[in-house]
Order: sequence, then C-alpha cells, then structure tokens
Amino acid sequence: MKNLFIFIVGSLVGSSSFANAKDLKVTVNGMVCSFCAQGIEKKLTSQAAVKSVDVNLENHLVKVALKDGQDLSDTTVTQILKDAGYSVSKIQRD
Amino acid sequence: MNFRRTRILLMGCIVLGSINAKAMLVAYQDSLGIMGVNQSFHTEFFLNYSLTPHFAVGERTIRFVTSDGAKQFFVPEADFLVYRWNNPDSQANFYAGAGYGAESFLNQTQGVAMANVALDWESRRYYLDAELQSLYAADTRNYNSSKFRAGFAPYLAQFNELNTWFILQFETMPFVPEDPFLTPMVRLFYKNVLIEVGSDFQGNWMFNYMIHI
Repeated sequence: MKNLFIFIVGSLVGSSSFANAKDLKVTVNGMVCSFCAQGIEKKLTSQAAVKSVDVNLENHLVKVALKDGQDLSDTTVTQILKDAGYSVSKIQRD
Repeated sequence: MNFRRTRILLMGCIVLGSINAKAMLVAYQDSLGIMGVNQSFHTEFFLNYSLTPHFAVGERTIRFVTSDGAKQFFVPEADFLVYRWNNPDSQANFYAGAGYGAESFLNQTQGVAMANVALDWESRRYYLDAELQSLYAADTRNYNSSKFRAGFAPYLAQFNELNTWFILQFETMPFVPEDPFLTPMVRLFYKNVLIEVGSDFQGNWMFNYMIHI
C-alpha cells in the first residue's frame, strides 16, 4: 500500500513536471521576409526559458519550445516580438 | 576639422566598403547593420546601430563621380522608422533620416547636411521601394538622388533557406554624367547576409551587401 502511494505521488509529480514543458504558438503580423525576421529568432533564443524557436513564414507562426519548468508570459513574448519590429495577433499554449 | 585627417578618414571608410540596399535602416533593437553599395559612379558604406525598433544612429560614407570629379561625403546620421504597417501577408515601412557631416572635394572640406526618406512594401512574393536622398553642401550645391525598385521572388523560400529575388531599379543622380540608370539585379539572402548583383544598361556593374548582427 505504501509502495502504491509512492508510485501514485511520483507519477503525479512526474506528469506535472512534464506538463510544464510548454510550447507556444505565436501568430505574428508582418513576418514576410526571413532576412528581416532573423531578429525574432535571435531575441527569443536569448531568453533563458527558451529551448528552441521555429519560424514559419507561410503560416505566420513562431513556435517557441520552452525548457522544462520554464515559462514566458504573453506580455514578455509580445514585447520581444515588438522589439524585433513585429506585432502579435495571437498566442496559443500547448 | 583638420582637412588631412578628414580626408584620411573619408578614404578609409570608402576603402572599407563602399549606398546600401535600403537608404536607411532601422532593424530590431540592439542590432548592428553593415551595408554597402558599389557602382562605378557611386559607392556608399553605411554602419548603424538600432537603439530601439524605431531609432538608429549611424555613419554614412558616400562617393559620387560627378562631372566635376569625385566627391566624398562623411555623414553621421540618425534614422527613424516613422511608421510600420504589419499585416498578416505584407509589411510596409516609412523611414526618415537626417545627418550633418563633411564633404571633401579638390583638397577642400566643407559642411554638408543630409536628409533621407524611404517608403517600402513587401509580401513574400512582391517588393516595392522608393527612396529619396538629398545632400546640401555649404557652398549651396545640392545633390538630390532618387531610387525606385520593383521586385518579385520566383519561389517562396522558408525561413533559413536561400531567398532569391529579381529586382528592377530605376535610379536618378542628375549630378552624375551617365544619369539616369536602369538596373536589373538579383538579390540573394540567407539568414543575416544579403547581397545584390546587377548591371545597368550602360554596362555599369553593381554589388550591394547588407549584414545584420
């Protein structure tokens, strides 16, 4: 019984940690030129919470993979994109 | 300003690079822009730093081969992104810049003021650009130039793929004997490096570059 309790608690902690590894899908306006959009990748990857960045010009999407247990607020993401010269129309969290 | 030092500084800057792909550039915050235009009658080197997404400071070195001879300009400047239209499938920008520096010609140096405006629009497939530049020398001589561009991309490249554009440029420089100039060119860019290669219908080659760091 004790072992079962430890197993359940451990599983919950584990799944909670996994749930923190979030991906953001940011829809960006004005992102039509990859030369100009280099600043987006550079600015986002400089954030400690960011694991990787994937820019998709066709879908106007910037996918941001976050490190386990890390997060970036919508306000921070919007400001980073603004500093890079773009505007954010939507932020989705997986 | 000491003439010899000014001349050495001007020549040094021209040797280092030599108008830019865009008359002025404000890029993302804290970025460094290095740009050059090389034509037989006109070379330009431009180095700038974007303090904010709307404001950059820089230095522009220009050399024109006029009917009177080669004239060189060394102009520290401030550039502003006055307005940007960010749409889902396109972006448009209105830039304005101004500076004050020196003109060197026939062993003489005099003050020169500069003003720039540029308006561009681009989608992933098409590109339009209009730029005006004026240099006002202390001896009341003005050097007004303009540049108009239209381009298209033959394929839609993804981020971090090689991008190719075909561009037609119409450029006026009334103070240059061969004016005006119609130049077809190819623009290639990959990540943060952009180059343009072309030749006008009078046989003058052009090589431009731009790097963002």
